[in-house]
Amino acid sequence: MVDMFASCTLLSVCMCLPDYVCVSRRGLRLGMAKVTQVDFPPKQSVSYSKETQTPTCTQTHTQAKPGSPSEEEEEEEMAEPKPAEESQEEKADQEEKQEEVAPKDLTEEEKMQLLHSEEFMAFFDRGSRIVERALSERVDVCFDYSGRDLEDKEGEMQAGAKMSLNRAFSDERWSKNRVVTCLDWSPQYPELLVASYNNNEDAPHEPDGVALVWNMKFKKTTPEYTFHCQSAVMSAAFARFHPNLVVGGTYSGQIVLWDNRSNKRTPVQRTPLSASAHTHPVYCVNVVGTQNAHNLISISTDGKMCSWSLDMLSQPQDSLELVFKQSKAVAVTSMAFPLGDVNNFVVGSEDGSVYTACRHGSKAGISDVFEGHHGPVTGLSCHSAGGPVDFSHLFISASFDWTVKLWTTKSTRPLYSFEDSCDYVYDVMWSPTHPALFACVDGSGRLDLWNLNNDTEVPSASVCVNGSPALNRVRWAHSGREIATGDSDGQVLVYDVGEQICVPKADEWTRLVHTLVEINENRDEGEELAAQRLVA
Amino acid sequence: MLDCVVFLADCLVSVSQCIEVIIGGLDYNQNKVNQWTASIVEHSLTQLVKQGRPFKFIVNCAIMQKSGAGLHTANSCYWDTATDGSCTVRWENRTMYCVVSVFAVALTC
Repeated sequence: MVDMFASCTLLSVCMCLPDYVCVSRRGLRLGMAKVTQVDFPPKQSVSYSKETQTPTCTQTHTQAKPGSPSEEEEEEEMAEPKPAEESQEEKADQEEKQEEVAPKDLTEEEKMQLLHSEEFMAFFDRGSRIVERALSERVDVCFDYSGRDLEDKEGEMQAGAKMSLNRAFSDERWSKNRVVTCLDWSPQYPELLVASYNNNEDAPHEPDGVALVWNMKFKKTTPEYTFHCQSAVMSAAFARFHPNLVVGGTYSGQIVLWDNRSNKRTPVQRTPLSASAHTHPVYCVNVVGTQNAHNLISISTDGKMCSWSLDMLSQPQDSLELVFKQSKAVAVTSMAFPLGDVNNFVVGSEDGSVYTACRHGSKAGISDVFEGHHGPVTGLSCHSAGGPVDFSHLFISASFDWTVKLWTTKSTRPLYSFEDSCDYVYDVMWSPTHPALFACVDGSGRLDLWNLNNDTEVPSASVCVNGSPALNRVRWAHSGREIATGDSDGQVLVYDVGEQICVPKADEWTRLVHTLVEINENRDEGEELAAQRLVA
Repeated sequence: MLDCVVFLADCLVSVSQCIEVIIGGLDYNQNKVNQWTASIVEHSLTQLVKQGRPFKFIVNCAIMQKSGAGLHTANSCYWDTATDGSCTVRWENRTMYCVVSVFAVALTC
């Protein structure tokens, strides 16, 4: 009540002096009163146009009415060889009638037009995907669950196997002669995996950047979705809170967004090529945050970190130059966020150092430097297996110097160095479920699994890929039971990890605590010895 | 002259009370808005006449829905500025604006 009264504005009572006074015969003084004005300004509505949307190609969609029933007939012929006309008697009758009426002579051009029309392409794309899955399925109907058949065969071998190859994904047209640059598993559908590829030097007319979404669930050998763009894709990720979006960071510095709801293979949105965004290759993209407050973080090799909102890619919400000691820009090759943290993160650079940094706050930017590698850092991973003990201060880094090093954010010297490899180590990743397990891949085609609680000198399991291609990326599936690795021939290999290795027991966390204590002691001893030797 | 000023000040108060009674707390309703304008004008006029002053009154009421559009009005008069006067009351709530203008012209007698 009081508020309503307060909102009532009172204009002053009009009693001003007149501009013009007229004296009439009776002595009345008439004059012009002051103009009373009432103003209600219009509401300004803020709107922006999505400048980053790529224009849809305009297809002249000439579908005459008589043409449509015949189109349906064509589709039915292609999809189902056996006409299911018994169930669709009435529809078929209608179509036949319409066909009799409509001219049957569709010229070649008209046929091509129909085949390339948007509706047909969308239907065909969907239909062929379903049919391919059905055709590739090879189910063994004679499988005996009692295991009598398998007793002599591979039953035991499989039970004892540490790592076995499950699937190998490659596509003749899209992945041949390209290198796998990044892998990511979908958070919503555990069977989907996106792989990004760089350019094919043998085919200059094909698009430079390709991202394929592979499906583990069905046995078909073609990708679920094919996406491409004009510049080589260096990093790709599923957008965590947007199940239909795939984000890619490219060689030109653009961030592109593909949507599997659209029927386009080209990106639906891309960031502008401007100085406010990236102008160098983007090697790291990641979506961090929660459902309601998340950002896309991207870092390019000139040290520029931008955080974007997925709704507005025309300019970054925030950008930060990562410089060390106010002058040296950090050439970032890899980035990792610790579990649950959206502010602090670690980056690896080409000069061999690892840096910790903050996104917000008074100390935004590089905080500490961790020196230890003698070559560019190729992969970083922060500990992510949640459990009774918190190990989120641990992270591992892989580098061209043939080693993988274990670090803790509490100390700038490495905790441990794993030196079992004889080639550049290209990537490393902690298991998402087992606290002491991580995988690394190197240039000689080896995929190693290390279990810190078992042995820190040699890997607990190791497998060498056929043909020894250089393995570029390794990614654990979210379940922690499968590992995907991409190689330099454009193949994506998915390995099943044996249960006795990948499933953590209840005491793994406490054992890791002891292991870390031992590692710490050994490190201190080693340093003392080294210091003594220097003195002597 | 002073009389007029005081009188118009009272006008303001009574008119705004009128508005409050009739549409206070209500939201814009297209079906009822005609009733509202009519009753605001009637009630205001009745209140003014009740005061028994020797004036001719003109009361104008405008109710506008808040839709983001702008509204601008202006008025002026040519009269005896010593004895005549006008006042405008602006009132708003979440969904509508209400503007009531009262013109009081002195009766010559």
